[in-house]
Amino acid sequence: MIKFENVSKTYDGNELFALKNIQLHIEKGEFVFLVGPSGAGKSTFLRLILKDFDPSDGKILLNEINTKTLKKAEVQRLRRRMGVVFQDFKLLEGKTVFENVAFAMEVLRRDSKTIRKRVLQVLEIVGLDGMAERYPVAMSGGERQRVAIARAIINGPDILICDEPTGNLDPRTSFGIMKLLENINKFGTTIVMATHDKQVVDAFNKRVIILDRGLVKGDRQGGYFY
Amino acid sequence: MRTFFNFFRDAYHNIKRNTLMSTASIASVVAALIIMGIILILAINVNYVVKQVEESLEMKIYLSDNIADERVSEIGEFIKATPHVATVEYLSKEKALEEFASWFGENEDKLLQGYAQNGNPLPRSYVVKVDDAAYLENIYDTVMAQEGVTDVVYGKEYVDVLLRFNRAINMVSFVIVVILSLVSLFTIYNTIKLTIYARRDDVEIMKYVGASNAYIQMPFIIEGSVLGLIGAGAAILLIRGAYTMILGMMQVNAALPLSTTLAPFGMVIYQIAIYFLIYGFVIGAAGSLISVSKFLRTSR
Ligand SMILES: Nc1ncnc2c1ncn2[C@@H]1O[C@H](COP(=O)(O)OP(=O)(O)O)[C@@H](O)[C@H]1O
Ligand SMILES: [Mg+2]
Repeated sequence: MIKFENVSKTYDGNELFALKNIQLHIEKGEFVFLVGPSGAGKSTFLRLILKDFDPSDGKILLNEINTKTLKKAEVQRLRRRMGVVFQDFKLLEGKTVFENVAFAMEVLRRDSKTIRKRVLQVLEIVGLDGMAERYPVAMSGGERQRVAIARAIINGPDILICDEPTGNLDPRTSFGIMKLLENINKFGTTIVMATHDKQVVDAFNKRVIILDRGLVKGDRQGGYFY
Repeated sequence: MRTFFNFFRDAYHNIKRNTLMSTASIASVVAALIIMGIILILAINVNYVVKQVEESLEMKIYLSDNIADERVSEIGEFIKATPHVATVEYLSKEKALEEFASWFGENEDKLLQGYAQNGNPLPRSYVVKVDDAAYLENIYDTVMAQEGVTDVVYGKEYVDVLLRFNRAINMVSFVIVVILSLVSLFTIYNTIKLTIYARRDDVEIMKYVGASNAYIQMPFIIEGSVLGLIGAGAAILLIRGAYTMILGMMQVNAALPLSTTLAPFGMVIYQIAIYFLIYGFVIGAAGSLISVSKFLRTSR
């Protein structure tokens, strides 16, 4: 489903390779941990999948389509099939939980009845039933991340991209979030999650891709952090 | 529909949250429009005066006494066929003398008698009016080249000054309007830039959920347009107040010749209001469009 073919990426004004000659394949329905120290290239890897930018060299294939060849409207369509979760949640502070989640459907111009029904459903799935009218400021980190996850999955994405989703959370809360992601994965969504949280990686038995200074240093099923 | 309403609600909240920059934007539009309004009213009146002067400008084409009547009418036809000639009037020797004599009032009869005895020295002529003073010189050249035309006379220096003045006024107004527009555009551009910066997470999320560029840009463009329209509205009210005051003062000094050249109050305000609203809307929308497009280009 996601193929990196000899992918390299350098940023303008930075001669170091953020990623170098990456060659790997992520199958549909997989749950993949992307681990490595800060600056290893994890976020760059995820942003390439999101087509925030194109690789400097090589090809990214999503369902056998080279993302570099996509036109603007096709990129938008592609992103509607993906969800993103960040370490800092990126919630809209002035809006309620309901509005934050509904936002991702309003953007796609769904009618308000469908939106209402679907948002309440998804809030239940992520364990936030009854919190629709709360504001993010009045919520814990774990609850906020659940709102962000609800927003990421509301349009039923094929791929869920998570960039250090537990980075701001204590171990207990992280565990709850991981359980939620695992459940989402069980319903068929492919998940690629960047993290440098050893406890999380060791506790969940998934494929682990180890990045270090832009290079793949390991790629094992059911692996541990190192 | 709901989302469209939301856009306006968001624009309202942002303008309120961003008071300082929003006020600056509105003020810059108001300032630009007021200066523009003054220039516009001045330009309308200067153009009006110039037009009146142009219409009263005459060119006199004197004919030789030694040509036949056929040649005289030939020249008349030629002048009529010349571009930008509005009216042509023939002045016979007798008519010219009458006119000349009329300047002398009570001595008129004596003068006429004297000339009747000694032969009328005044030449035949054509009196020409043009529709555009800028072409007087061209017409002068072509007519002067005709055989049988002895002299062509018009207020050359006067016309030149008038034309130069008119051109200068138009040029200066144009430059000032362009500069002021750029200033307003830049202020709105920066206001929207701040708004976008404050809401960059929203934009990023919208981008990642696959919103179209148009959808992402819409709230910012609405915000910019609203700022521009508020500025235009304020400028209209201010100009209206000022114009009412000027008209009031003119009624007191009813003898002022200028009052006759001022366009009627209702019409001027109505026209200015429409221009201002369009201007405010366009400047606001353009400023924010440039701002948000640049942001989308550099952040993707
Ligand atoms: N926008 C950028 N411009 C220049 N260099 C960048 C940019 N983003 C990341 N980098 C560099 O690319 C490398 C990989 O960064 P990143 O993918 O963010 O790593 P990670 O997410 O694993 O911490 C780092 O050396 C970082 O400094
Ligand atoms: Mg990172």
